[in-house]
Amino acid sequence: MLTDEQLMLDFQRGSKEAFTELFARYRQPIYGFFRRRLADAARAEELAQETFLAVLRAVARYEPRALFRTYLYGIALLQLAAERRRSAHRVAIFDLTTADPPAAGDTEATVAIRQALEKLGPDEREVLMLREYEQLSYAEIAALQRVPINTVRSRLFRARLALKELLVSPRGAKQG
Amino acid sequence: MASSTHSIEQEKLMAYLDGELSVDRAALVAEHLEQCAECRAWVEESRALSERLTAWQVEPAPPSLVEHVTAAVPAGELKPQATATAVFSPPQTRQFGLPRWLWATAGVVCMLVLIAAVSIPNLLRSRIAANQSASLVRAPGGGGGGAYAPTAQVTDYLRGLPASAGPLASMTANASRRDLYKKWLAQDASAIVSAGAREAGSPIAAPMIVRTASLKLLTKDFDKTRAAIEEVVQRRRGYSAQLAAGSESNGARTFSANFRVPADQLDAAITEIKQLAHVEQESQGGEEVTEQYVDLTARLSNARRTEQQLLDVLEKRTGRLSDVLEVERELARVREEIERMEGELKSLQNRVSFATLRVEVREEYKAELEMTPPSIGGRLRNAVVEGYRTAVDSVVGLVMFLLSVGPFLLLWALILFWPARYVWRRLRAASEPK
Repeated sequence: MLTDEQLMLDFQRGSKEAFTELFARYRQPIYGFFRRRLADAARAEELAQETFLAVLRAVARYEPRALFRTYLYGIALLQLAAERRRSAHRVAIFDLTTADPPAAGDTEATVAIRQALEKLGPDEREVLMLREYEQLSYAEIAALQRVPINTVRSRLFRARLALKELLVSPRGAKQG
Repeated sequence: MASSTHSIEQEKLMAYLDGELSVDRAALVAEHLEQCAECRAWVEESRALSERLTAWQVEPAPPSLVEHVTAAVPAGELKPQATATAVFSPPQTRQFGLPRWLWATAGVVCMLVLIAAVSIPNLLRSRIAANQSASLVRAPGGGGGGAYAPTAQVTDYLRGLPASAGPLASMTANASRRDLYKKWLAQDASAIVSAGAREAGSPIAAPMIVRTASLKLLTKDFDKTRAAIEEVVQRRRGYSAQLAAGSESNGARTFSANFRVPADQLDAAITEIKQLAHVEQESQGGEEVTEQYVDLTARLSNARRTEQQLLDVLEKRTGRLSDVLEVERELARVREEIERMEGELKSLQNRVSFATLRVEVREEYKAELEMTPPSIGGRLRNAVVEGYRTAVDSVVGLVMFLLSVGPFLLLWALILFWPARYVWRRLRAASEPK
């Protein structure tokens, strides 16, 4: 199987199949990235689309210096930051106070996780989510957030400790 | 938790779980975990947490996402660009808190405001000046009173204008004044000429010019030259207005005189005098005073009319004594003015009809070589004074330079700030590989 980077270089040379393959690999992760971070599913879809379009636009400038995955999430994080600035007035992220029910398949467990995540600090939450949901390595997270790896590790540790407290502590432990 | 007393930190355990430890370190941790139940429990707890987090699953991406992105894949060949930039600078949507177009708009607005701030005062000033000159041009045509009265008022007004208005306005005013004067000359030139003739007893046919000439002569025979010059002036029906003779420090004699020569005789007189000695310098000049003359004539005629009206009032003598006295006072004032203007007119005519010829004669004299070098003390003192003056001048010059160039620099700094900042950011982004 070809790596992401090889696919990207193939696409750069004109292979549309390469992009189709890349898109197939990352369609769901990128959609999930936005979906977990934004309350509005339609916005999540738009931003996921925008992220792939940005890859299309910038393909000529791509150089395989880092993992394609890091590159892709870098774009996604920029999109997210822009979206958060745009909608600073309407709190869109982890907004449980709005009447809008997040997703159809939301279970009680999911709601508990979301509420617990919401209580973390923004830096720690982002590190934790990138690790747990996007499965990025410490080095990748460090590159994306432009912080040292040790900072990533300590943030992650703090986030997990806090989350354990929130989810497993007596008042939150409904499901042992 | 007992992390501080324990041999392996929990943070390391976490890294182990995440697969972030090097192989040998991971082996150490694995070894430890086999022995330490406490750590095993902690690891299990952590694993459980991660598993629990995976409960938050996201629904599959909608098909519309696939459609849109597939549709956006370019149809043609992809051309790699020569200027490949860093992989880790993904296309940025924004750089600052505000969208880029807003920055651009703000920059443009700033520039427009600056340009307006610079140009509006100028526009206003020139418009005011234009209004003033327009109303002035209209005045003589519409004046129903005496033929010269409006002109007199207008010229009076115009004379006062430059003092109050800016340089631009004064230029416009001068231009309009010339126009006005020409127009008005064309309208009733004959009336003015005859009036002028009546007032002063001499007709104005040609433009009235006050002529002046100056000659500097060098002669070997001083007495003979001086006598010859005086003879020429007399023969040309001129007279000497001022005369001075003396001798310079080296013994050479000098003679300078202001002669008044009839204007039509001036050229002939100059030609004759120039033949008498060596000419060192010659200059001639002329000042046109027609306008001044016409102006004065008109004002005079106006004042005469006022005098006549006052006399008529006095003749009727219907008012109270105080009124009569008032009229007489006014009459006296007007008469005084008339006399003054008549005097001015006469002097003007005199200046026109008699040209001024200044002659300076210097005797040629072989000066002795005289060199008395200044003392060392005097030279030192001069040097000190010069140095002090240069220092003061340089400081004053610098301050003046800053004052005169400062606003200009500030203006351009404001205008160029946005482009420069843009270029700077671009350059910095290009030079930064990360």
